[in-house]
Amino acid sequence: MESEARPAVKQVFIGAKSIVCPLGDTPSEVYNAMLDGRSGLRHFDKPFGMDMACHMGRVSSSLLQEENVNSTKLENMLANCYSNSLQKLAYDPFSDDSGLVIICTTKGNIDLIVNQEDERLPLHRLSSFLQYQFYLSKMPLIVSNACISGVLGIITAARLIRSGQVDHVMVLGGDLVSEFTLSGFASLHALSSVACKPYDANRTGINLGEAAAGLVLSADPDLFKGSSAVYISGASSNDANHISGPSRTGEGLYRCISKTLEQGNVEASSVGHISAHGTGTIFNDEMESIAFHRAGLSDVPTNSLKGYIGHTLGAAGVIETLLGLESMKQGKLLPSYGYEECGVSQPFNIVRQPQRADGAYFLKTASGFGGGNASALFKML
Amino acid sequence: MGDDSFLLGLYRHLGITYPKFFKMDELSKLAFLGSEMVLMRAEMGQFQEDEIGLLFANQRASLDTDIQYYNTLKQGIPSPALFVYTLPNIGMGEVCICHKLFGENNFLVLEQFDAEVLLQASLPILNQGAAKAMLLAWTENNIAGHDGFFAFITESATLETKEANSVTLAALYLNS
Repeated sequence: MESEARPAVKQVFIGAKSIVCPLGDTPSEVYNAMLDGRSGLRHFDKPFGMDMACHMGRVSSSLLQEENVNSTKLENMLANCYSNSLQKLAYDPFSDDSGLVIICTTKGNIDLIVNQEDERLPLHRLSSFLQYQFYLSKMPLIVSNACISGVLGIITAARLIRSGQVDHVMVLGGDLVSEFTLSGFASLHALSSVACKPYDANRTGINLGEAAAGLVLSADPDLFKGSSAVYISGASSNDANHISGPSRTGEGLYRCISKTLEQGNVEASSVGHISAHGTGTIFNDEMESIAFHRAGLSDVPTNSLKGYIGHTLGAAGVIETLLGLESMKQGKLLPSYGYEECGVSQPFNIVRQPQRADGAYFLKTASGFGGGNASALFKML
Repeated sequence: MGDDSFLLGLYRHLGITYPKFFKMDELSKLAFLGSEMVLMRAEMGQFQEDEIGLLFANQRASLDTDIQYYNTLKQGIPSPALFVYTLPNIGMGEVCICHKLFGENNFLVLEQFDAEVLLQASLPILNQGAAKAMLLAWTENNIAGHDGFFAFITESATLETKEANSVTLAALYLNS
């Protein structure tokens, strides 16, 4: 730990939220639906013709604007978010080199895998689609790091802005629900056939949800028509333990939270709200409780939003950060949907009804396959 | 898909004993072996367990393994052993597990291999103190074979000159 004075860190403002998910397609519509206690997930008897009941959330294709005759469902979702976020900006920073788009996704156009030769299947295609569609000056970067992709995309954006490489970054997250991912999680016995219950004693696994979301980070507060928050710090850390199971000691999550708070010069007691990962599996939720306890965060009002919209994979970090910021701004934190009875060994302060945050700092955490963990800290202005 | 005997041959040639290697998909095997070759030459001992960051990248993510998994699904026996490898960052996870690396991770999907872009993406991590060294890797499998670029960089670098003030670069280009 260094004791010399820290150099001044460039302020990174955040705003221009956009969303397409099972509960709606504007941030306020989705936030208010959640406050109303509504979930966008429902029961499916034979999803994609597969013989397994599940609970999940879909986005209706008919609600999406089709960008071009060749564009895929995911591309339309991402494009809708790009346009909606862009509209909220005072000027367009992506038509010159000062602006960059980052796309966070785990599987891209995986619904097209029925035809292995489909040229839209390789993941890099999403960059060229977006660049071509919106005349972006810079080729978008794709972050694909399992379920931490969204938070990692936000951290990467802030680091690039602070390095001076760009001044503005739009972070777009998106993933589909597909036969591919549904069957895969089912094969790992990670999928619940009923509504997921993060942190609850009776939890039985995840629900998948499809979504896309957008957030803009910028060194220029005037880019926004009123930004209400800044990005403070962030970090990622690997568990170095197992490729698909989380560390029993919450090692990676504890480390990245500690680094995030240390870099931001913020004590655990100053964190007003945590939007956690909370997938509803036995192992993930237990691991988080241990990591939060180790980090001294067990008193902070914490929730998982996955009961409302499902686990949205690459979109999760972006969409959950966006809704967390919205709830901080509105002064009403969202209850952790599906939670009734504590089911983790290190109980923590889970939000049961709308309440104010305990302070101005908001922490978002995520964990994912490959042993990845990421966390990002924000401050409300 | 590339010739798997190349990777197995390399594993044997390096004299590694790591049984987990045999469970990995080809992308992870390539990531693992290339990383081994670079890390053998890097002086890892001078860094703490969380001071080495990893930045890996490729063009097609885990598509080959995705297709393999999908084929098992269509045959009615979806394979969990394959499904866990249908993410491009798993190889990076394997390297972290083997060497107990708790530092920064990121996986990027790019239009094409570009060492410059990899360097540009890693410099903020180094310069802002999130890591003291970076393991960079480009790992791609395609019909022609395996394509890998691996580098270990240390110290900070300036963006203006695009050269490091003091960089230890152990770069390795693997092609089969």
